[in-house]
Amino acid sequence: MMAKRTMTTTRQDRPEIERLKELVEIYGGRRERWPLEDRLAMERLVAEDAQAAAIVTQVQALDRLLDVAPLMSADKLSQLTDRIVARAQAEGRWQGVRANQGVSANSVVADLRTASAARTGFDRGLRTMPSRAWQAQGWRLSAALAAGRRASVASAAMLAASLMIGVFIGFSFSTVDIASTAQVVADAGEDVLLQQLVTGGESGDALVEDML
Amino acid sequence: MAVKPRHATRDVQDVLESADGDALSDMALVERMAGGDADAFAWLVKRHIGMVSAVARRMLGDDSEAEDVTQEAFLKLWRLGAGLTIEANGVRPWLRRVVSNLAIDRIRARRRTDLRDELPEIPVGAEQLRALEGNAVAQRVDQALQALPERQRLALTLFHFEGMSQREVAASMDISDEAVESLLARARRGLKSALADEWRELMAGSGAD
Repeated sequence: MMAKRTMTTTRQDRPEIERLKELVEIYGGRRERWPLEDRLAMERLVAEDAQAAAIVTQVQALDRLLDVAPLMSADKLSQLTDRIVARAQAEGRWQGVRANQGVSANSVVADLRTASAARTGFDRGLRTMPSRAWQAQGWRLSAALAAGRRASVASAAMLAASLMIGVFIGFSFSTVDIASTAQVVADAGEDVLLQQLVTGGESGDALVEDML
Repeated sequence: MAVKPRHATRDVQDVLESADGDALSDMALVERMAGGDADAFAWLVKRHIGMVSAVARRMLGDDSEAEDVTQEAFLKLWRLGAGLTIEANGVRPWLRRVVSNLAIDRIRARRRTDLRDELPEIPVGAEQLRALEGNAVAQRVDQALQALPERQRLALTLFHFEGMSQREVAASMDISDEAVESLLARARRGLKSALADEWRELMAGSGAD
């Protein structure tokens, strides 16, 4: 009579039983998850061998146990969906919006699109500014540095910084597309514009990189 | 025509109940979302929030943190917009990778888990007896999952719960097929040990040996 054994026994089983134990330990008790090259032979073994069948039954019990691990309730998921969409609408999207994206008048998110378009125009203005500004103003910086040979490095740096800020502000209110700037102020609000100017952010970083 | 901002709590559910977003592919919805269409985004959230939240919940073992990570994953999708490259099988693989990585980041940040791949120490005793009652079994399973090292837990979550193939898990975790086998085997051994009482109870209840 065959002694009753469990999967945890250390005694050497027949090779096919050992292979079955390896399989279920990795892939569990769902036969469709077993590798194709083993599946047919193992299914035959389970159908014909009581020990093999018991092994699979035990593993399937563990699978069922795992499946009771708690998940979020449907109500919670519904509320979470609302929150996620509301948050997305509230923050808008400042990246990835196509520059030529049209604004649909009958969209329920027209407000979002307007804000995004405004930001895109703002970014475009900032990004096109530095190279032209640098070409126009570069000689002034060189002249200033040459004249300041006797001045300290700190003074030169301060002068350069002042020039850059002057160029930046002057360009923002004169050279850049007035219409898009006005749109930015109108749609995004002065606070947003000022915040961008003060804190830099992505556009500010790009500007500095271009100027350097 | 001016459109009034909508109140998400009510309107999102209205959109999801009335619109035909189900008929659209992920690619079509992402295309619309990239243009700022929040309705399309809402449909993508509805379609994939079950999977995303399940991965987050099983990885983190905490509803509140899982909600945070789920929200973060979807907001990444929203912010990326047109920058997202959709794979042939939709946005699901991308979301799965994002939520897995976010969950792992969070686990590491809170230092709740030991990064060594060792079998977990599960407390035993009177608590285990109570665990057999009602919801407590689910809680014990949850605890056992949380006690697994993160890589084992992620491999098991993706393979067992999410139904990914071994190769998909390997690609998702950027490891070899053999490493996936090792992680799955160790995870199952750990769970079997941690849930020995519940497992025997279940076997006895089913009349199996």
